[in-house]
Parts: sequence; structure tokens; C-alpha cells
Amino acid sequence: MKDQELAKEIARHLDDGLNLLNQSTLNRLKLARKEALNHYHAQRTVFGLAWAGHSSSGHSWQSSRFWLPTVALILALAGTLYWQSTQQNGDAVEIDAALLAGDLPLHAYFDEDFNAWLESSS
Amino acid sequence: MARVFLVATALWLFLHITPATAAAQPAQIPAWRELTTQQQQVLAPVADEWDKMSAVQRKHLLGVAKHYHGMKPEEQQRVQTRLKDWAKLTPEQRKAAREKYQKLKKLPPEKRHEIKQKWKSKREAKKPQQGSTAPAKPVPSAPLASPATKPQ
Repeated sequence: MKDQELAKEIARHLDDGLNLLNQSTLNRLKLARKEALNHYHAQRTVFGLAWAGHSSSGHSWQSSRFWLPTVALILALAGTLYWQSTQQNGDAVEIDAALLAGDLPLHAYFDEDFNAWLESSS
Repeated sequence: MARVFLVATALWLFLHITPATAAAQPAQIPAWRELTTQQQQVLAPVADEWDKMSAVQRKHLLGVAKHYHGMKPEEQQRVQTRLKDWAKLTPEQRKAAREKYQKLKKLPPEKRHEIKQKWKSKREAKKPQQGSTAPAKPVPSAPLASPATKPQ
């Protein structure tokens, strides 16, 4: 609570201080802001050129910044689904082999008493 | 143009590599006559049903056949005896059996041993009632069994 009160106090002082700024300081701040914005736009354009060979203007779906991640996402998703399903399949095969070769007969797994013992032990 | 091709390829891959297709691609699941002699020997108990089985079931059984040669003789014998009954179960019954098996496997060894002992005692107690000439029922009187698929 003390920190918040302090922050509010500082913000109030800063707001009050704005009214005391002289014109030359205001001009310098305006210029600095303009330069920063120009610099930011220039960086965006260079980034767009590097990716797509043209500026970033145009529809967002035409931009490589949209479709490259989309393709990567689709491929990653397909890969994950494929891996999961082959993994599950492999697990099922191992269980089937162990079940068929195990010392318990198949009908044990469908026996009511057996299931009750299993449930009470888990 | 290149990006259209890339997106199309990615979509094609996505649609063709779904879990269902990965689990069973019919083109890769051989018919009985296409199995190797070794596979046919192992899977002989289900020879008659093989071509009627689902692709997933055949794929699982081919996996079992692969494990078969690494098994001990008594385990191989059990597989041979149980294969037919196993194949007759519905997918839901097989799934239920797998879940029970996994549950049992996750138990501490002493608990697992205890359950197996209880089961053996129950089976032994039942034997005189069944009579010495009646064969032990190797298939489950499964609660999930439907009349069409209930093993005999």
C-alpha cells in the first residue's frame, strides 16, 4: 500500500512538472519522439524485406510473417499428432503381447472379483 | 506461388498424417496371403479371421508377432492358446483388458502377487465344480460382450 501511495505521489509531481516545462524542452522532446518513431518504422521495413523480399505493406495474410509460422505450426501439429498416435499404437502392441503371454488368463481381466481386488488395491 | 505450394503441402501432410491414418494405413496392412511364413506360423490361430479384421487390429497382431520370437517357450504357448479368443473380443473389451493390465502392472509387486494368488485360489476352488472333463473357459464372460461378438 505504501508503495502505491508513493507511486501516485510521484506521478502527481511529474504531471505538475509538465506544466512547468518551457517551450524549448517541449520542442526537444517532440523531436526525440519523432526520431524514435522514424527509427522504429525503418526497422520494421528492413525486417519485412529480409523475410519476404518486399515491404511489409499489404494484407497480413500475404506476408511471410503470417504464412511461414502458419506452415510451421501445421507441420508441427501434424508431426505431434503422428508421433502421439504411433506412440500409442506401440504401447498398445506391447501391452497386447504382455497380456497374451502373461501368467493370467484373459478372462481374469473380466472377472468381477479380480476387478474388485484390483480396484481396492489401487 | 511458392508459398501457396508450401501451404498446400503442409495442409496435405496435416490431413494425411492424422492419428487414424497413422494408426492404420490399409495399404500397409497385408492380407493373410501377403504375410511372411513366420508371421503366418505365429498368427495361425487367427488365419480364418485375418482378412475380416480391422486394419488396427491386424497392425496390433503383427506387432505381437514381432514380439513373439523374443518370448520364452511357455509364453509363446500362451500366446498361441489365447490369440483366437483375443481376436474375438470387441475393441472395447480389448481396451478394457489393457487398462486392467496396466493397472495391475502399476501396483507394487507384493500387491500384484497378492491379487494373482487370490485369483489362483479362486480358480482352484472352482475347478472341482466344473468337473475334471470340462475344459477351463479360456475366454472372458466379459461384461462388455455383445451377442454378436461374444467369444464362445
